[in-house]
Amino acid sequence: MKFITKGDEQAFSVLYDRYAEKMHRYFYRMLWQEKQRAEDFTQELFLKIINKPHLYNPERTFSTWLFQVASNMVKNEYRRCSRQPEMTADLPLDLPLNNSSIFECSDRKFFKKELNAALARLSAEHRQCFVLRYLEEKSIKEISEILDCPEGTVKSRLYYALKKLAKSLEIFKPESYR
Amino acid sequence: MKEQNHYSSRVEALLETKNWDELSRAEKDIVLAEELTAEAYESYRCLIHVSKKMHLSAPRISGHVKENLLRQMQLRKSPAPKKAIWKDWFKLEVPLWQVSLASLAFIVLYISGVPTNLNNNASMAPANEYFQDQVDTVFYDKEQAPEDSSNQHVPQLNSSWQQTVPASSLPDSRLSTNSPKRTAYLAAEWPTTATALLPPTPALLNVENTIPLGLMEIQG
Repeated sequence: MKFITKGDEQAFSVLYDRYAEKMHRYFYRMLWQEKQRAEDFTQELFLKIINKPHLYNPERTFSTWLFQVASNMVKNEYRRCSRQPEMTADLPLDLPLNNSSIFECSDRKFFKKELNAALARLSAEHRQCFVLRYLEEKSIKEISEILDCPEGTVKSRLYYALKKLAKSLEIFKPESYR
Repeated sequence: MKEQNHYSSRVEALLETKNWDELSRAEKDIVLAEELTAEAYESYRCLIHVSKKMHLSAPRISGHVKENLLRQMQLRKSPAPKKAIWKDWFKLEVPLWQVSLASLAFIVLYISGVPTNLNNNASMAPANEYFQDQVDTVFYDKEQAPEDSSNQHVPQLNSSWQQTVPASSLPDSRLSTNSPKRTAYLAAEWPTTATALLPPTPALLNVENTIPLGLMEIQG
């Protein structure tokens, strides 16, 4: 970051190569899986690094700080669009009613599609915790720093996120789709 | 009994690393103690595993994003050079009619001779001679006012910093004795050789500026 502050393009390039894909995936997952929007947000995030490098707090790990900024951007976007994903618990999935046919149909694509949909229907907080913990492989402590909430809250959100996902997809018997 | 709302860190770690069959007897006991059945455990593992795969197969970011950012960085690195203001003056475009009008005005003034006449008159008059034909100011001597010898307005001072003040002019609160006259030290600067000869200042004459008599009384 010191080099970037001084305008070192090579340092920025290294930083970009290391984090751009990660951040793009995060935005893609969090912002309704829209590629263009995810790209715009990734660009905006790195623009912040270029234009306001002084905002980085060296006491924290860079990755945590970056995800914190990204998480705030996502929150702002949710607020701007007032379009948050709904809870899954009581929402029926668009599945065929015949259970036997589901079990026979070992269509992984269909399962993935439904998992995607179930993830998208999770509440913003639950989804953020799930994505950061299991997809970005952050520790509970890091997530609590990123989301600025206690570790207990993060654990609780993860617990409910997993439960909801499992409940949404129990009809598939997920253990057979690995 | 308190309802469970999260899994322990141990179970969290196991979920990510081991499937049910790989768990030891003790580990299985830990998992089961948290109301997590073998089926649920495997189901969670599957969800995590598949969603991770899906996450990694998300579309990649376009290359032009990096190009844009690097361009932005270059722009920030080299700020626009400051322009010299006077350079713009030479680039200004003046309408032809304005130039023509200005030239015409100059020629007309030159021919009419207004500036040249003034110049001639000035050169003809000698610099050190002055003629005045008409009297424009008359001075009359004013009668002198009689000299005021009584000096009633300016009280006499014993010195420039010490004054005898009539008791009647002091406020009532200060009349603590029956003495008709009191000597008070005025709250003025200590006189120097330069100020001792000067007439009393208004502050010096103001009775209110005196130091309370009770404190500084010399003569009863």
